[in-house]
Amino acid sequence: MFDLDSWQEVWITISRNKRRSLLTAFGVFWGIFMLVVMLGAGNGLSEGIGSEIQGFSENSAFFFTNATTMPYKGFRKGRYWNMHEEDLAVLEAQLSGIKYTVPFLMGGNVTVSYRDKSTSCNTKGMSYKYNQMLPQHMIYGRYLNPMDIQDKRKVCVVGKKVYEEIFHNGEDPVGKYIKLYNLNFQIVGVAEPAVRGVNVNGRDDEVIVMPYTVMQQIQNSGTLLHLIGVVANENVSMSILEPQVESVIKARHHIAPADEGALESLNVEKIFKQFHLLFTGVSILIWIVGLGTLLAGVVGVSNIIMVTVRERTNEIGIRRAIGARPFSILFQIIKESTVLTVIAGFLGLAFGVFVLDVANILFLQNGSGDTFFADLQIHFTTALTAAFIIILCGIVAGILPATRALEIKAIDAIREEN
Amino acid sequence: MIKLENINKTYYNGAALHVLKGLNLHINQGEFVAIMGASGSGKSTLLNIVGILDDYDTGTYHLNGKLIRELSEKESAVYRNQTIGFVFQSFNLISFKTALENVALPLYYQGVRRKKRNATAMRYLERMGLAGWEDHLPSELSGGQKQRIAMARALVTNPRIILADEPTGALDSQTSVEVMHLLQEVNREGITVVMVTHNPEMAGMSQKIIHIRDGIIGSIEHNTQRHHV
Repeated sequence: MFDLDSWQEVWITISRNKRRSLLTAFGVFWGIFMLVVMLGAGNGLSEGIGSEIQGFSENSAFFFTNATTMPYKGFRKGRYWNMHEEDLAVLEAQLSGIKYTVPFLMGGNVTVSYRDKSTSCNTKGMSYKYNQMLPQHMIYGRYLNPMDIQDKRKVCVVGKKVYEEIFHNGEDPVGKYIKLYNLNFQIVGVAEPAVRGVNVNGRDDEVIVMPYTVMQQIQNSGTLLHLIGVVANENVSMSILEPQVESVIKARHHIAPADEGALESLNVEKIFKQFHLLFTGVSILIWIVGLGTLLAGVVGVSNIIMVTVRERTNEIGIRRAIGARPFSILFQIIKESTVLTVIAGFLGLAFGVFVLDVANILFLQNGSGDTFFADLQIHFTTALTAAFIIILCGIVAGILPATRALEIKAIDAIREEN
Repeated sequence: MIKLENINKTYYNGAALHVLKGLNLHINQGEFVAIMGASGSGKSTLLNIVGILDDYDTGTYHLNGKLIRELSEKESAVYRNQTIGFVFQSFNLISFKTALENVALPLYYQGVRRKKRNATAMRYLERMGLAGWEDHLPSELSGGQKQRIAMARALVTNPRIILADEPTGALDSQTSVEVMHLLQEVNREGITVVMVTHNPEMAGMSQKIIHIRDGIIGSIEHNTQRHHV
């Protein structure tokens, strides 16, 4: 049932004191506006950081060694030790929760030259598995493959920035030879990290990557590894696997099981969880502040409707005398607060979305891509939630004044005059 | 029609004020009754009880044979809407509504559709001699016109009773007489009219004058010769 008269009356009441209604509505407008803008910004931040780490194997950890801090099995403390390639095979054999392991070797700074051009950069000894753990975006050619590792081929993958230093723009370097460590390496690909937010031992677009087996020969270090990456199966939490990996490695290298300092690890899953927790915290904070602001606006509306009820004591009394049922008075007041809140709230919602859109165009689409934000916008479901909250707020704001209006008896209005 | 027996009413505003002290009153269908009395004698309280605007403490009040006692707000709203029309000293029109809207309001609360209720309201406005004034706000009208709108509003639901509280109190003598004539005319159609007034001249235009003294009926005066001023 659409009762035109009662809606007309609502409008008359609201527009009778335009400035007051406007100021009151502004409170709700601002509350919703702030909520939407903050939610959009929070969403943008979380999406932005999310896109930076998208594709990285979250359920993983890195392990690296330090001098021991405890004496054990006749060894003194302060002993330097290293992990070896054999550890990988043992880990994969003993722990079924491991999906795969990734060996790392760091090569240090070298001078690299191609024809007349040269530059200096870092090198890494890697496995083809690294490409699974942290996907690389290949601009030219391919990443390392198992044959490269096995046959100890002198091939390399050049980081995009290194490529730009020693090659002409647009030149396909695949198959060309570059010189480093006084050896000629054939280029098999040019890479940049597909996951921009994560780097393991230097940015992947600023290094030259060669098979770790080749690096071992260059460094003349046998099967030594600097860093081990472990990726867990989907059904196993890295937090559970981490201590198991540590105890296997420690046992193989005669490290005291309680020695925390000798084997350090970086649990990526834990870090991601902290990130998620942080974003959840930010989002909770946004809702609290936003809803708090909105609440202040709603209290304002409730207050003003209360004042109008007071002003209309006589009118409401007359209505009661000529036969208005309590329900119709109640409904009328709640309608008033709802209409005021909904108009202001929806305007705030629209304006908030508009501001986010403008910010998106100004900062993100013309931007360099170095911002932490991406897609400053609220989800459609969030907008629907906000709309629902607005309507609910309008009704709630009306309840108190409406019950006050119900207390007005016909006789009060008539008495007031006499 | 209206049957009050042993009605008591006390107000508790600070000190207890016993206003009606066992009042008995019978008003028959079609009567034109004026209630007179000094200030504070309880005549307005009596009218409020009869109009179901106020409740009473003890006694019984039958309206049309129905006991009116501790009705819910909703029930009393329906009774007021359907059987009683009110006319007040201060008109009590709704200031932001036009004459027509004011008159149509009781029908709105009956759920009558807009077109029909405006047509009915228009008919009553015409009867009150206010054709052409329907789109005016109360503030644009004279006291007499306002009171005639109030009467149209009271009559629009076709009630059995008109309750008038000092209907001429705010009017000059000329318009007072006009309003009284209208009330008489309404009464001739069989509608019971109960009017509270200070003015003996106005009371003289009724059939029966009830004097209230200290919360009970002091005397009843029958007007065999009705005045036509």
